[in-house]
Amino acid sequence: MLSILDGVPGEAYLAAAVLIPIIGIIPGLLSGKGARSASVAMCAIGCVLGILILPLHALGMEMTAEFPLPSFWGRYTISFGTLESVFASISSIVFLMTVLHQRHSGSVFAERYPAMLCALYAACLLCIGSGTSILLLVSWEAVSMVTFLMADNGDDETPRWRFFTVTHMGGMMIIGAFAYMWYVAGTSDLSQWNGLWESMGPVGSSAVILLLFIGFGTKLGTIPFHAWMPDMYGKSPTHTTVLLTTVCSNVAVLILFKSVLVFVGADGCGQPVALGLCVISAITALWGALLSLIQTDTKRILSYSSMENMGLVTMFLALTVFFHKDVPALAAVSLIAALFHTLNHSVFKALMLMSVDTVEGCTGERSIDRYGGIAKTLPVLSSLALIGVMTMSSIPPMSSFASEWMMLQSLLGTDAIDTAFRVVMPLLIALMGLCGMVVATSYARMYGFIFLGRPRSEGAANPKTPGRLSLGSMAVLAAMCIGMGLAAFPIMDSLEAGASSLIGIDLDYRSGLSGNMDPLVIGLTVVGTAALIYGITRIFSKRTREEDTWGCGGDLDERMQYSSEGFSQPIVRVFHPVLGDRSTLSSGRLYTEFTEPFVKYIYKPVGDAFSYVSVKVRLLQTGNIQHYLGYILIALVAVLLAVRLSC
Amino acid sequence: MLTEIAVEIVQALMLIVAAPLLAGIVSKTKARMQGRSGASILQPYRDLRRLMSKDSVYSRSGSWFMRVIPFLCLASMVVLACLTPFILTGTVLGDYGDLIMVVYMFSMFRFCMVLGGLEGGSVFGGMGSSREMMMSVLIEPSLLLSISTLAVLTDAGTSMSGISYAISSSGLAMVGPALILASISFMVTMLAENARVPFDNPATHLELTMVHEAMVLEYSGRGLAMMELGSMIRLMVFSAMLSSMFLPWGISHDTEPLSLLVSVVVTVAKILAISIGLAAVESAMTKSRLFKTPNLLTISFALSLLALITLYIL
Repeated sequence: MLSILDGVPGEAYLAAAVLIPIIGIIPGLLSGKGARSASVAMCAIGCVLGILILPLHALGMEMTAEFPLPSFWGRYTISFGTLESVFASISSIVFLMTVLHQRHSGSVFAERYPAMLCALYAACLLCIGSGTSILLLVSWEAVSMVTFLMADNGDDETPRWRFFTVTHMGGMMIIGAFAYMWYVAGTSDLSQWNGLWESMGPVGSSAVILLLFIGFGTKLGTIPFHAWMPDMYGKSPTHTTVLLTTVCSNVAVLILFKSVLVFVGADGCGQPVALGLCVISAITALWGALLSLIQTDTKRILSYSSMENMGLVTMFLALTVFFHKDVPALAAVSLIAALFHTLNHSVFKALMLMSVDTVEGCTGERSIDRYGGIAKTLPVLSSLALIGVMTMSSIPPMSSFASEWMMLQSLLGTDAIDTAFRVVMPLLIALMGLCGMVVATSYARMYGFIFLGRPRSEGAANPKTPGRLSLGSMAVLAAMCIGMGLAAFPIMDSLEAGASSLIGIDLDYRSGLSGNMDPLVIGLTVVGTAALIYGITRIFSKRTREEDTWGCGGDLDERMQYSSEGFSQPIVRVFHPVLGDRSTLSSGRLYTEFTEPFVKYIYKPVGDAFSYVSVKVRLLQTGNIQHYLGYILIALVAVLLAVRLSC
Repeated sequence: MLTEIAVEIVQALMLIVAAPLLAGIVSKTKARMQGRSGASILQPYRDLRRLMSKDSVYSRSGSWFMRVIPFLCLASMVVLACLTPFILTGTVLGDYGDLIMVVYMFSMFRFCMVLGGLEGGSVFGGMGSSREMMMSVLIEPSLLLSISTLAVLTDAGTSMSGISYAISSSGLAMVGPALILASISFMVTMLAENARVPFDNPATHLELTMVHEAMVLEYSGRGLAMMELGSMIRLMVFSAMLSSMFLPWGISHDTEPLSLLVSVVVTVAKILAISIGLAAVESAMTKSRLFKTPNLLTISFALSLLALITLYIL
């Protein structure tokens, strides 16, 4: 490895990467087009600096910085090791593409959107690199707050307040877990936090790990905390959704990994706890997959798909903890799979959300049942979306194929585990297959009904041409979907190096693999073979012509094709006992109704109970001063009695 | 080394070239069992040649991707044919024959075909795609589980050649509930994945029953030929996987001429037996209702789950 920058301090560089976006908040808050453009430009400069963290780190630059802020809580430092650099760079690329795409998209934005972009980028970068617990907590809270502000759609306030509530519940759990770790470690310097489980004991560390998983799970959509996700993703401006589901998820997974496996240490967690978390995540993944199949709003399809992907990621993080004692090699495989899948997810999900946003902007339609035939009119856009859909469906040699391959590999060597829990592993393999196919169906449906077939509405028949900048930013992401697949093993090697140096043990994921696969070879062979076949078929007839689709002798109108609801109907029927959908037929059209059971059976009763109690408690508030004096008297007597009795 | 590569290339060519023959044998046997004389076993070759020499007609609604799909589908199956051990548990190309990758290649084939079904915007295509996806949702877990059973049983990892080698060289030591259950599950999966009775009827063009045929309805000429050939190779690859991984006895481990000869004879016999079995199943059963097929697939799923669980418990 070239290390021409060996030992060069990167303090000024990092300060610039963080401070430029922070300064960019100021013009973003002003009104006026020039000021806002300046703000966006500063955010973009911050992103470019962020992208370069990885190459500079690889060249040997010291990526640490300290902010000279006086504080009771300790110092404010950031430092980027290999793993943090990889996460920072890929997240920055996604962020930059989102910012570029946002410039020319048709979506309506709140006034201060550029300022919030700057704030979110700075917060994410600080959170990824944070070297002290106080900085981590502050920046994590900032991420939540800014995304809440960015979700303002000027219309329906419920989704974002629901997000606010759930994410702060999670935030409280995270703060609780960190406060306890802080207390045990005795310092806020995160580099000193390593293997705290020894001082926390098995119960304490299991509890902390549980809190962390659930706390970050609220952001990643773990059941039953996913209730905010579909509405929030579906109704916020698309670019808020993109950043929330990609960059923020990257940050959440990275911090979750660091706090569970580095700060607490995997040894601290009991296997039953890890398995429990794994099962919850598995159910999350399956639930997300099944629900994405029945949505008609494209952004909701993608939001449930995020739930599925993040369910898989947390499942494999939990499995890493589970495998840790018995088979370290498998733990390494599942850890690298989870981290790599997180990065892949951020790229393909950003690409898909942007394609959907572009389609919305070009056609002016939102429902999947109003599109169709866009592949014919906008071939470039549809090709980019096709790459995204293929990546989401894990088609070889795309990037997520490699990470899912790794996931399955980590489940296959599990007969080495010496506990009864290993009988769960076949179920997890089945789950991987089921989830994979259900989401593939869902994405085939999404692509098929947006881009293929014949147009179902006027807007879809004559779409506007998308801007070059938005297509360009999507093309970068599409290239990354393929590139990260072809270069899967080098990327995973660097993830392994980063994770090893953080945990302090030498991970070796290659020794845990029981098969041999190279996406590069597969990709080249399939494409090469296809080209060869093309060459051979050229010998035969070459003439082709175009005709209308066969319509059994009649002309087909735009309604005479399969509908997206009909497409998913057979699977919905098979999974009817789980989904509990209700179909009604009225005026020749089939309507499928669906209620989220988690909302119906958990959130609704709990909310109702709170309302009921609140109404009852309100009876105390009579407004009469003598009653209040009476309450004080009763409270005083009760306290005095308690003190007297306890002494 | 060189002879090994040569033999592996020859076995790949055998798989590809013999694929239409397998389809021909199955339909001939089926016809005989039903008391018809049936078309010649070479009929699929003639069909392919006829299609290849015809002009192609594409749907006006279809995009550029529709024209690429046949190439991708056929290419993915040709690549799989090169990686599947058939008469030799080779280690040169076979080293890349990873089972999980194979499952994902089948998904790729299916995914492309399903998108192709949606391209034309016809009701048939949509219906076929929809039904195909429903079945594949149920097929995929049992396919993954039955091959995982082999990987765990043999401890040879996920390499097809390795598994084939491990089972065939250990005599009957590995025959047990796990292998038997996994084989049965794999056979059911094979029927479903290749659109055979009782899941689909390859001979019908009645819209109520179509699955696979509905998806390729919009193809013609060489596009259709490639899709058909791709499906035939897929059946052949499945048969080869069944014969050389679940019942691998007789497969050659080296390039000695005698053992290769034995292997060729035994393998051809196994493939013939599989095709006759396939024809027998198709003659004895009727195509089941679409919403009855999940029951059968769930049974296959339960069997493969049991297969793997027995390995973990016993």
